[in-house]
Amino acid sequence: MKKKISIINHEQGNQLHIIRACKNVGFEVNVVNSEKDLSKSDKLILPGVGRFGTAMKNLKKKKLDAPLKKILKNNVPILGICLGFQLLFEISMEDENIKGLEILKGKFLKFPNDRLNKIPQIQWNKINISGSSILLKNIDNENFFYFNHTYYLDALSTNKSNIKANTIYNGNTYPSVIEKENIFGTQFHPEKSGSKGLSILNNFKSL
Amino acid sequence: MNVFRIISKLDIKDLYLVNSRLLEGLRVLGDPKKFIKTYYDLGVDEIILHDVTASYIGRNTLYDKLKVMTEDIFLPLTLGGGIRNLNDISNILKCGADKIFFNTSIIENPKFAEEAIKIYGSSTISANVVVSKNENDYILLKNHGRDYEKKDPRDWINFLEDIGIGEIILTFAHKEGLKKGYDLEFMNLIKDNISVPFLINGGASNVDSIIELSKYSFVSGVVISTIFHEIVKHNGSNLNINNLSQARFDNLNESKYKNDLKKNNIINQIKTRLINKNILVRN
Repeated sequence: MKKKISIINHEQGNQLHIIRACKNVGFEVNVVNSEKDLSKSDKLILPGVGRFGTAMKNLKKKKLDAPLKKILKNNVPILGICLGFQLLFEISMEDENIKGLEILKGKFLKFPNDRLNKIPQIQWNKINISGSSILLKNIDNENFFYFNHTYYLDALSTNKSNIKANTIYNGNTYPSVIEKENIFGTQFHPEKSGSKGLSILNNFKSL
Repeated sequence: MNVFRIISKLDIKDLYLVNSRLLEGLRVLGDPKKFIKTYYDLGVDEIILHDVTASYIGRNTLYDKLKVMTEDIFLPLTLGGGIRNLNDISNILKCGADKIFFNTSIIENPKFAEEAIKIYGSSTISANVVVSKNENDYILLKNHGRDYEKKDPRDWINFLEDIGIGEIILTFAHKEGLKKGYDLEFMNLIKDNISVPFLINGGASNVDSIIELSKYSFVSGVVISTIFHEIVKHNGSNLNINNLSQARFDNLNESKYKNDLKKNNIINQIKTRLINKNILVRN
């Protein structure tokens, strides 16, 4: 039987690529628009491109925020990607007044802009693996992944033991892969990162 | 840290991949989907699709097909050609593109570029700046090279940077498809004034020509069509592009051809040379 994945729809950005990538690695894909959809999920992806505050507002509007936190306490695995990764934490300077899902401790800061290192960071960049990780099984250290973001997780604001890889941009070293029990997240886009990106989704599938 | 990108560009006419010289003389190469998949398997960093007739025939045929053409491609995708309004942009993004590029419509209506950037953000919006050389002057082309605009291309580049364009693709129309290298004279004219991600298109002749470009620190990557397509069609895999076979891509023995390409992967050759020159690439 195919493993099922439920992709949470916060109405920010296009879900076409993540849906295709999940199908490519052999998931059966459902899209979550309501609490009812959520209750049927045994594995979740919180995807994303877009704005922190808007995505949180949309999750609240769909009454998904509280049920999502509840289901995660019951050990259902979740993978947050890019904006979805950021939403797992407490706060982002993008929308300071709107709280994230607060599943993990941490705060997102804005990259400084300069002539050589533009914001957003839109490029392939390396990850430096810093701990043993289920998500990064069979991924080499310094492998490149595709990033597209303006805010980064302040390493000092989060629990160090959850950080599984870091990335450097604009002189800032920041966590780009986190894992804590059933909570997983990547700041980069596995669904845009070629075969190694698909390997990450496959690792998540094999949990 | 900036990673030098190797980008494959496919010109599409009536849903076929075509090749051209000096933006003219289109020659049908085959089904774009197969070429896209080959470039993905070989390890290009990004794919650009260009609807080359949309601009002057006034309609877009590519949007719907984009979904099918890229269904097994997990890379950043950019699409352009004939984009006239915000609705076009919205449709293209819905069909799976990460970025769009335009040329004619923003020369004719620069406000449109500003509006698009405001709504979709710089990261989504690129401009194709098509330059040609007329005697000693550089001119700015539109409508896929059919018309020109009385603007200094350098002023136009500055303008695009000022309004916050996310990326510029500079196309050398007078070098396109000739496989004789880039216009380094123009490169030298602009090299100190560029502050946005900047891609160069039109003129790649061999690995050396790409290494030459990578010496310009403002260049973020190279956009390649002709030499990649010819290699793929030729069923070969090195940059010796003599004796090109006319065999159609569709008729090739696919598994044999894939092995040949992998064994002597052109993208790896380019990247290895760049790494040896201390240029950072995705490997």
